[in-house]
Amino acid sequence: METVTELLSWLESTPLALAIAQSTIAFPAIEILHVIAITLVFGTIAIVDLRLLGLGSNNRAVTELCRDVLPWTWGAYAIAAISGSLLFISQATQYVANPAFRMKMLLMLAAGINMVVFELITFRGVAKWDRDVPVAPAGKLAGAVSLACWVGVVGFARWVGFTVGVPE
Amino acid sequence: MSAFAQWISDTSLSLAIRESVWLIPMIQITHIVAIAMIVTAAVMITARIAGLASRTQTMREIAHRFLPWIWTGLIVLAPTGTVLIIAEPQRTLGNPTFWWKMAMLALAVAITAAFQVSLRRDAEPWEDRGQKATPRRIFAVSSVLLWLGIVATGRLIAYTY
Repeated sequence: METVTELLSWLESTPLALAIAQSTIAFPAIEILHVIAITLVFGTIAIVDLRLLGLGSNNRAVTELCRDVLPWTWGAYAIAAISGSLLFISQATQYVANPAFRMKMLLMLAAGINMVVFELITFRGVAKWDRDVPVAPAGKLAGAVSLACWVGVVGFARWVGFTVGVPE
Repeated sequence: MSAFAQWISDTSLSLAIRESVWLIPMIQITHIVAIAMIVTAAVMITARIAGLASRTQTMREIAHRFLPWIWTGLIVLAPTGTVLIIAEPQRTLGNPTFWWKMAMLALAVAITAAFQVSLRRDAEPWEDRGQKATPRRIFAVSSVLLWLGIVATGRLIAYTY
């Protein structure tokens, strides 16, 4: 624990972190970028999740939809991760101590594991349910878990703002 | 406006919303999820117009998939936003950032409706093979910029009141 605390303090003391913490416009500017990126991460993942659940885009093949939409998810995710890291280092100690932030990280981990299982195992059988038939139960489950995780991520992310010392 | 804001703020409804620990955060989260659906829908429509995604889909197919996200999103945004205004009227009604957001919202709704009507009337000019690309591009770019501006000013409300 000692080393984690030291690492977090060191992160906060880096010139970049200090610049963000001390500037009046840096935090809100990065935060806006982060919010825009996460809206796209959430929304584009939801397109795929809803397709897996049979609730939208049912006229399109799963593989085709994934090819179309997921590059946008990853692009937005990269922006969200970079901007999020910048916000994090400006108040690293406070964030790590914050229960909502921890829940957010936990849910992102869960969403990541769900995605890896889907990509490596479930997706192998995609040819059987790519179009015109309902998605296999494992695929539907992946869609439901993903959607629940990401709603939770957005929710706890907003909650972090209420509980860490930044404007509501 | 500030007297009006004060009057709302003094109502028992406003007080009740503020006093609940959970209500404002839960409503904000709902508000954010709804705007996420709208921004994504606007970006996917724009990406299709720009030829960056969904090239196998016609414009009507893409609009049929994503325009309902925008209208449904707005149906969720309006009441949740109204509750947030009632809870903390000074934060919004007395805040120029909020009025910028509302102006952009009005524009975004207007051009989305115009897009829908135009597409219903004649989809041909919206397809890639349509001769004139300029109107398509103007709609695509302004739609995305307006929705992103709405998200940005929405977040900035917290910093400017």
